[in-house]
Amino acid sequence: MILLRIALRNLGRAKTRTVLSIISIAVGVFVVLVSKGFIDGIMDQMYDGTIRFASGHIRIVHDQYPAKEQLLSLHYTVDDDLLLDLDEVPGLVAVSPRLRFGGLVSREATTQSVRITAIDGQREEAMSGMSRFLVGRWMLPGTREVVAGGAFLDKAGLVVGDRITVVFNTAFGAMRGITFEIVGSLESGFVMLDHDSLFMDLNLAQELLEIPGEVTEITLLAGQIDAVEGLLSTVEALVPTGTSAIPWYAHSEMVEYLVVWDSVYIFMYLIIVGLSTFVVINTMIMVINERTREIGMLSALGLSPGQVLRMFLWEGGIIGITGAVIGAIPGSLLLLIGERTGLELYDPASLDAQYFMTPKLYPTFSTSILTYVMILAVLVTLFAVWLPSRTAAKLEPSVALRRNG
Amino acid sequence: MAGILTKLAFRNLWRQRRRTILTCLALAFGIYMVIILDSFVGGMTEMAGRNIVQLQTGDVQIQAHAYVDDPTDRSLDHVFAYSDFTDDLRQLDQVSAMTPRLSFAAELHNGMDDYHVRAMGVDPLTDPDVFTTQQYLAGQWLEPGQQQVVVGARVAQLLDLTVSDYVILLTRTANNAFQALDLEVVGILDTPHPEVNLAVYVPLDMAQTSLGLDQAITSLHMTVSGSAKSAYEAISSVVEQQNSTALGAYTWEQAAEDFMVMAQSSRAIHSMLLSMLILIAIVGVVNAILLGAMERTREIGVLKAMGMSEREVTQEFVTEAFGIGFVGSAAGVLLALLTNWFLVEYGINPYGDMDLGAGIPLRGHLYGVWNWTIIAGAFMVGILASVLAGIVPAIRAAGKSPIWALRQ
Repeated sequence: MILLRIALRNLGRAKTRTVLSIISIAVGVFVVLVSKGFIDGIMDQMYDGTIRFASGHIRIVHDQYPAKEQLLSLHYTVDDDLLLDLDEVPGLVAVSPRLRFGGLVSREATTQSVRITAIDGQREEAMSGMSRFLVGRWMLPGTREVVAGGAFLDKAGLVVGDRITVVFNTAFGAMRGITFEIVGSLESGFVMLDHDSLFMDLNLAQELLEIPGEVTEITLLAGQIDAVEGLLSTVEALVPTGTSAIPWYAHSEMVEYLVVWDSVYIFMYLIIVGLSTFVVINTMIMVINERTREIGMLSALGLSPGQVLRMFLWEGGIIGITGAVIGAIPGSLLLLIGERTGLELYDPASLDAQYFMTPKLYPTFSTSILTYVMILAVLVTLFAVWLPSRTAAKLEPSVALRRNG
Repeated sequence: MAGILTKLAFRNLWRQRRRTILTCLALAFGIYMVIILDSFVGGMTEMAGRNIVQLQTGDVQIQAHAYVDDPTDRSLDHVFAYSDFTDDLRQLDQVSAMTPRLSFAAELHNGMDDYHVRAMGVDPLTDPDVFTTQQYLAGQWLEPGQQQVVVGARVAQLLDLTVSDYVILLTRTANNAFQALDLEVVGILDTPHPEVNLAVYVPLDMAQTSLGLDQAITSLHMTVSGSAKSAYEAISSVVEQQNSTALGAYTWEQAAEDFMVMAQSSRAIHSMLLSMLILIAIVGVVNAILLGAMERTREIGVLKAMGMSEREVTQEFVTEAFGIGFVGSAAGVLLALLTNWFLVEYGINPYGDMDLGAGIPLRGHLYGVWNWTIIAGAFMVGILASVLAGIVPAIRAAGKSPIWALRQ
């Protein structure tokens, strides 16, 4: 324990040196933590939006449907009997059928096209958790009620409680116009949901479109994204011929593009980690080197190389932990605040609906990454101390004492 | 005196070779990464932008506002006759080439399957003046008036089409009547722009006749020379003179707004990551210089005891810091210039043959760009941070009495 006492006294004696070492570690931790938080934030946000609102982890559709999807075709549907089988599959946390079709909303002289998604409220909530965006309430089963995108309502000059008439074609091409009551609006920040979306009850839509028991897709959510691969074969065995189970990463070229971006970001992140490590090591090497004489003195006084090394490791450990904590506090605060408020990236109106991006970037804070970054910082510091002090401790006291500094 | 100080400074740097080299390395690496990463991001944006200009929009296009406001609108409701403009536009020095296009929705049938495509009527003669589409063509280009089609590679792949196959293009005329065109596939286009690979091209005059449109088009694309802004303004005023409130001139940035938004947000994230990189690099250099100056307090005492003034001592230390800053920055910039020269000249192919799709025109070789603002900026910041880091401890130490300094 005497070594720990010497270490503490050494740190207090050379305050500037200690402070500089701590700063390099703290900034290193801050930089790595914040970069990772932002990178994970943007990637999660993009993947998460696409997975929850479009692709699911796995999406079951008619083989021909992806090609016709843009048209919101009703000719390539899936039988919703499949739901019962899918409910039995272990490892799935949500199984949500969706029936998507296009319609026109006319009000006075103007008409506007809308994308209508008919859902089973309870199942959809488990899938996308849309209630967190809801102002008002969800439609009741079997009633002629809809929930609409907030931006869409604003544009049309409508409010919750108003009635709108939606014109659409049934699956057999007959045109229908039905009046609904707007019972809720969605304020999600996702262009796709807010600007031209209507949600209605699935059973009602099947009846109105004259396709009872049919849906355009069934989306599945696994408990863990890593489990998708395993579940895919189980699900594929269940679906009838002519129907495909498509994993999230094959959903669209956009997702494939994101996967590539992900690797670019990981590369940048590794460079930041590398440079931070280098800076810490460099600083520590300088600090130890200038103390070669001191090491000589300690050796001359009878400390063994092992004891000298342990004393330096104590110092390194204390500096490493202090630096990591000091860097982690502002870094975590920044991420936690950013997670709540978000950073505005661009004008929400300018983005095409096909991207599931919110106009704000939300970094993510995760305790596991915080722990990992802090442990890494302490390990790097210990290594940075160990490297030069091992050599210095082995020097003959007479040689070390003659060194500069 | 200045000469001696400089000599002294360089001897000191040389005496502490290892530390000097390590500090310079940290600085050089930081600067190097900033320049190269910026070049990459710039290259990606520029490449995508170039592909948009050369394959989709031209430098400036005249189009109905309605189509720009709603990019999903594939109707023929907003077509216009361009003969009204051509004479006036030809008068403009800035417009070096122009070509009309007619975009319409269609279904392409191969006899078994059909696929919903964006069809484009192009003028086979003037289209190559504005667009580089032909560079990516396998087979023949279109001939005016012929029942021919050039299909995008993705469409060809989906419908199993090869050159000299026959296809049916099903569409609606301006009067909403169905129209089926029997066309021969004369060429297949494999471009770096995914949207183009999902489109089909037919001769403009044939399309106009078939759709009952006479001379109407959906957009007029131009290549401009000189300042893009003045060209855009000149073209805008021509459009305004025609009193057509439904039409407008759009620069390619305006026409490809989606892409610009994507580019803007990815740039924001990259700047964030780059500033993190710069921050840690600066801390590394400042730390090294501060530590270096501190451990030499004794040396400062010796210098002062020998008769050097405070100013001279400070000057000597700042010269050292400048030396480190200069060598580190120069090394980083030089290495970056070399790497970037390779990136700009030869490029790399980071994505292989993957089609990134989703309207992001990124494929094939990625080339770097020369962003001199960043290169000069990184160089200056590297030197400035070093010198500032050198000044503070030097002034402090130089102010102390030699006896105190020598006792440290």
